[in-house]
Amino acid sequence: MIRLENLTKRYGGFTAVDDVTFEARPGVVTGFLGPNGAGKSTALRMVCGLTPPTSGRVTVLGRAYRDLPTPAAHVGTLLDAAAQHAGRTGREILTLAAIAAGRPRTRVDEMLDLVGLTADESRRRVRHYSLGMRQRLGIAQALLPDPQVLVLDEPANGLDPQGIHWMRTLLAGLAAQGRTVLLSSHLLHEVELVADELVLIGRGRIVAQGTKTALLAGTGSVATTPEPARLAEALTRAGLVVRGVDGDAVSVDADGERVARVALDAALLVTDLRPAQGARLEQLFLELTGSADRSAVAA
Amino acid sequence: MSTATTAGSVTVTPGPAPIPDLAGAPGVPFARLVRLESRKVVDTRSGRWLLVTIAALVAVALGLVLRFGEPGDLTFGMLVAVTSTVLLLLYPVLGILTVTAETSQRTALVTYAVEPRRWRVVAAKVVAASWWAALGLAVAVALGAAAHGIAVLTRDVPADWSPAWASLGGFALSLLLAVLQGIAFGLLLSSPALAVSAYFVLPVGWVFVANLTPGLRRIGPWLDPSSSGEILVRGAMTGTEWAHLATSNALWVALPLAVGLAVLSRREVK
Repeated sequence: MIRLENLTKRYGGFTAVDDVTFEARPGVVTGFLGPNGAGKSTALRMVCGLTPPTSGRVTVLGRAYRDLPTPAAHVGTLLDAAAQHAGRTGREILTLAAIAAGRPRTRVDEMLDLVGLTADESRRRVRHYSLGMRQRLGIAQALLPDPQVLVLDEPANGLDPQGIHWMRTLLAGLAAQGRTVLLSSHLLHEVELVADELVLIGRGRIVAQGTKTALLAGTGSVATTPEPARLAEALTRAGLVVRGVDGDAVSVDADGERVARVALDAALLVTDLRPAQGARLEQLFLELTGSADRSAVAA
Repeated sequence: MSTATTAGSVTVTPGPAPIPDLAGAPGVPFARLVRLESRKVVDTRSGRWLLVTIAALVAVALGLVLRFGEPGDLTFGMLVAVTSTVLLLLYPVLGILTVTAETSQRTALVTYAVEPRRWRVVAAKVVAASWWAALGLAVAVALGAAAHGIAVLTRDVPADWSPAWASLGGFALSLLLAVLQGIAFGLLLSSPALAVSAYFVLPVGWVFVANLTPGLRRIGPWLDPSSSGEILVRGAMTGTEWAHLATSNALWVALPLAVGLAVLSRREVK
């Protein structure tokens, strides 16, 4: 369980995290989504007691992070896969993690197996690792303590689609055991695949939050037709609101049956008809990305 | 966990994960932090090479003294004093690097997430660096003994194994102070290059300025640790010199250490 309450971080006049309140619950994978520089990493560092908040508070398992007796045993963190001593081997980094959390050394090999790093790769220095390998090592490091709570900053960064699928299965399994998983991402499709609940942040503020189903549920349908202009006209005549025409696709605020009847009455061919999946969230995300990019400030 | 089974590619602990009962649980054992920090000194190539370099330089210095030194310089006590010069020069660098690597290699993100009470990490670093310094001292004394043995056999030097306890104790204390000063400078300056150069340049600059300023020259030994430090290694300390050692190290070791800890406890770790 992680709770952020009115969490705010200011750097001089710049507000990196602005009055953020949400909860990552046990049994659920919570996705923290936002464009680069939206304040995700700053918020996650505040969760782990590394960045002091300007105001507000965070609790992990009901306590401030620094009041956890052995945080390394209860909270698995991956805050930056690049933040490793380049001269250490992957195996050594996991061995240090095992010592820190008071876990047996056998966990090191278990974790290497789990993330798919070979024995040979584990003896190489991290300097020679690819981004994807570093990411896998970081995930292994976070999971090694068998923690109740996972805090992962951009864990899917650098993973191929197969790797992202693997991570989804892994994190869903961990959440199903009653663990709390909070991860961040700047890619909508990535977090869509992995998370159950979403918190969308832009320029430090939360702009949307809820279950993935609720946020991605489309209102309306998208119909594909060889004659989009005529279909749009027919739909408007039937009193429906046409949101837009994109090539041969017509977006409309109505369910599929209604659209099909209008098309049938107008004797128009429809080649594809489906609910408008996630259109709203995607739109929101694109707007955020656009405006955040213009005022991008490195956090 | 030993009960973990593998289902597909996911390690699954059977049943729901237990909710930890945190009330009254003890914190991270200090011995565990020391073990971590001590391991981190030697688990990189740079760390290991620093120790190997120190040992090699000690051997070279002893070799030079054996070859060119006066017979009177080849007693066991004198040879150990030769090794102390090398150790006192280079061990502070080890102290500096144990602290600055956390920022330059960005491992601080992990280190201070493991132990958010950051002063305990620094305390563990002090103990770990001191442990490696103690080991270095033992090796240096052994090499000094070997060198004296060679001198007795090859250069007709009378055997003199008197260990000069006062001098050896002074050597150990100097080494501890040097490591502490390295850690303090590392905390204060966080960049390895900056901390190392400051460590070597500032005292020289200080002596230079103090010699030009009549007021400072008079109180020099109270503020400059090198003068009492030299007497400490010779094992010839008197009351006044102990006082000099205390005040000068308060300025060069305790003060930067205190300021460094205060800065670290508030600093944002990125």
